[in-house]
Amino acid sequence: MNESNWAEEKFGVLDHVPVGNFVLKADFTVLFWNSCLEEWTGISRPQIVGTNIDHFFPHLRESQYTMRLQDIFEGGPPIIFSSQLHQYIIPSFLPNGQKRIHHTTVTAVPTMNKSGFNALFSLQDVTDLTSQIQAYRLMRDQALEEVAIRQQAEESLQLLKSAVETIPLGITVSDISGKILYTNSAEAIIHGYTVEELMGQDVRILAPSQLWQSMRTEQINEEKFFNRESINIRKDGTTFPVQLISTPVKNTAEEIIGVIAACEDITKRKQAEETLRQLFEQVRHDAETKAVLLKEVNHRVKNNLTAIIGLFYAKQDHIGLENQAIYQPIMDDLINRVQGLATVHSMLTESEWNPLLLSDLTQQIVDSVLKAVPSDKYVLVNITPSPIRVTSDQAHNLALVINELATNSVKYAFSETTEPLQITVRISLNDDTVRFEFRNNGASYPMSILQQDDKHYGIGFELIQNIVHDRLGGKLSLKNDNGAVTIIEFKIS
Amino acid sequence: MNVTPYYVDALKELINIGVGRAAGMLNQMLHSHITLHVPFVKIISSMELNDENLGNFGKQKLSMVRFMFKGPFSGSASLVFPPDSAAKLVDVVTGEKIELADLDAVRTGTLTEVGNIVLNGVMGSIGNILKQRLNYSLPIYMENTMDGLLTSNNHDYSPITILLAQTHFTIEQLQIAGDIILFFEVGSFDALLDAIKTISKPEGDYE
Repeated sequence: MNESNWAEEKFGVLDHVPVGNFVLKADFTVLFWNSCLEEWTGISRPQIVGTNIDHFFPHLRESQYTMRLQDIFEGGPPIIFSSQLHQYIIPSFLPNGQKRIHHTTVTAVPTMNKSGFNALFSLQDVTDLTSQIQAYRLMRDQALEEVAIRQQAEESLQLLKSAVETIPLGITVSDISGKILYTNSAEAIIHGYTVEELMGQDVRILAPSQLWQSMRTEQINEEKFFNRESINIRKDGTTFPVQLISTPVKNTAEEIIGVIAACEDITKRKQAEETLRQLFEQVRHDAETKAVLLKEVNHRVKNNLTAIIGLFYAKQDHIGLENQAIYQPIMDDLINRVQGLATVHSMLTESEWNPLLLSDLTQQIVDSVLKAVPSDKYVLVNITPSPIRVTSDQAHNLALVINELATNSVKYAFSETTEPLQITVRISLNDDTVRFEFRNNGASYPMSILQQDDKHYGIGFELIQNIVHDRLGGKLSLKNDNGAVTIIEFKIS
Repeated sequence: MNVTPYYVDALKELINIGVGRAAGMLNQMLHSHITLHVPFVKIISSMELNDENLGNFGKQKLSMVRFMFKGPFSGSASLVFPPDSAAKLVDVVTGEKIELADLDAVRTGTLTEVGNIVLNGVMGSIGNILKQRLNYSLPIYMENTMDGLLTSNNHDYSPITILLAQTHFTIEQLQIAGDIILFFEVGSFDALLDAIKTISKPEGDYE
């Protein structure tokens, strides 16, 4: 019996199993090729038996196969070629064109003369199993992903629930019919219920019946975010003010399926608002009273100053010609000074005793003094506009000073020259010190004044000196420069 | 069981040669450098199996590839994978990331092949060097606790001699540990030692 016939007889039974079988000799010659493999590969037994396997399947000569098969030819333990690592030991195709996946076992079988071993390959078709497992893996992975997403969502929901349970704001979720589906502890406590008592109730249980209003779906939909103040009712029937915020809840089809309402007990806020309102009313009333009083005081001061000026004028009429030369100048000075005070008082009343622009104050005092200048005398006044403001106290003192300076300019200017009198005022600020320069082109200061000799001061300069030093805390400088120049420096308040 | 250090060393060397061959095959197949080495070999009775010997595997569900052999010495050769090692091995050889408990039929086939390569390396080494012809069963894959795996091969619960060799797999930077456990029936183990004795002259003898 030759080897081929021996193999046919020995392994022929393998033609009847649904497993691909072939036998390789140690030199890789094919000794047997069963019917199953004929069908799978389209290679007939006569075609392949007696030929070297690498003629049809050269990859089996790669070292990853030959190294392991070597043990088989020496009678070693069986070899497994798993389907995942060696899908296509003998490539073959299914009717649908898909490659068959094999799980292969190789066992050592004695040669015909028992001197060595051949390799018996058994190829199990695991294509269906592999496909099913792959489909299962895909399905399982999807399921696991969904489970993970669901778990994440549940965790988020739990976190949200914990947050909702801990906030001091009442939260209620109701369905479209108003039935309470969820309410938190704060909502129950605010309204004097337990959570269990509120669950399943009509949400209107939380509002007094006179405030009940049914809303149509369209209305709820329109009210995407409904924020309002209202009145709610506790279990014991007492009512209290609340801030309500309602938001409709929609499903994925954009249909409204319920409403989430947040409720805040605003009793304390309302009480605070009422207290504030009462305080505001009180303050407003007090301010109005003070304004009326101030107006009255201003009016009376103004009237009194006007009355004093009137009295001076009346007294002037009774001086008599023999005393006129002596008293007339005194009376004029007094009238001018009171007039200056009346002017600044009038300005402060108008500004409601707020700081005055120093340039405006100067302009008005000078204008007031110039009213007494005969109409045939011409006076030019140049006051540099300045944003510097002075307080009411400073304004009063400066008014007296400016009044004296303007009066002196007018009094002595026309005695020495027929030229028009020119008064120039410059106001500047250096850091926090105001520099007020008053100059005229008329009579210069006499030397006694420049030396600031107290004995030679008239009452006017004594007044200026006292006000600048004592009341303004400032510095007075006098000089002649084409006329008299007076410089006053004082700190701005 | 009291075996002299000579025999333990001889067995350790045989197993080391075997896992060395297996590592070579795995490297060829996976195009990835895998080293295998055996830090220790113990010869104990099944009655002596405890957590100390098994590395706390007693209660864990383990993966095992096993085949039986018969001849001058008989028994079974098993490769036991701790769960994380099983998953990592499949992960490395297939390039797929899998969960520990996710060993389906396809993947257990892969693990069976890895176990088959390692066991064949060891058994081939023993068979060839000792010039002993053995008959082998097909390798099978099973999952059980260590206790269950042991009793599944020893139905009458009689004490058997166990050659336990812990083998470390190192695959690139990934540390993967597996345990190779060879089971020998009483009497057969003596035959194995006799076979070792015939190829060398030990200074001492086993008792």
